[in-house]
Amino acid sequence: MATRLKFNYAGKEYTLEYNKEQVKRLSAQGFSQELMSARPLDAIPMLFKGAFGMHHKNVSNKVIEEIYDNMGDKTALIEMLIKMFAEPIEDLMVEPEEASKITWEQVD
Amino acid sequence: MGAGRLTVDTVPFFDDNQEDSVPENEQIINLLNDGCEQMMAMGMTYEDYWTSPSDPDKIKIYRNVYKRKMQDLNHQAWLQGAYVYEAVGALVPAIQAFNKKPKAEPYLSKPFEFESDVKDKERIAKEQETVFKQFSAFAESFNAKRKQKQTEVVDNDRQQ
Repeated sequence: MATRLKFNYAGKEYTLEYNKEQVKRLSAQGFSQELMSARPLDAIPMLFKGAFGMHHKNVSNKVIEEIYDNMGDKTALIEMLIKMFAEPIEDLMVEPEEASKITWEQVD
Repeated sequence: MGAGRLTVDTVPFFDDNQEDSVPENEQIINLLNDGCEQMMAMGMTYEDYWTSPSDPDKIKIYRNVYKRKMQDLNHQAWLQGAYVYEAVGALVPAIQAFNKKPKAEPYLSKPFEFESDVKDKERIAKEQETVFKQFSAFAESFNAKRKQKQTEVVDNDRQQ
């Protein structure tokens, strides 16, 4: 199940989530882990804004910035956003099921 | 060794420059695009791939279904080969040199039976045999008891 972030701001319910389309869009804008380490002040707002793309495409930059400024526990928020961004990529890493190659037995 | 074939020596073991030259964000885009091609080949739609929420189970199921389809396809190809083999085998006597009476053997009168069908028939036959044996044993013991009772009645009558 995909990780989602839900909150209420100014009487409106928001759900932040990443799908492959949004991950691709943000990557095309230059977002990467390298950018997170090199220029976090640029990368974090990008990551936060990108999470609105799936469910709230029409929210203005101004509102997104306001929401970000009002968000509590930013460290946990950033960790959550990174996790959400990575999930659609990790989906592709799953391998098809194969018969087990190693049999094991109990040794006393 | 055939001309133009790659040997172990000609393939570089590590190509450091290739990976490092592509920025990380482009690597992610390439990975996602490759994944899209792969999943569309497995039957997922373009929209579904890009817009659905993240779900590793869904990807796993698509891959497993594709693997099963490939196994079925492989079995079908093998089966077709088996039928061709049978057909050619049936024709051999007709085209054999020095055969005084060339005549083709008839083709298979019915398709090959599935292994499960054969197993089912064997299982049913075994079950029928068991039921028959049990019934025979019951009938024998019933008849034996009846005979015993009859003789007892006859003996009692004689004694009286």
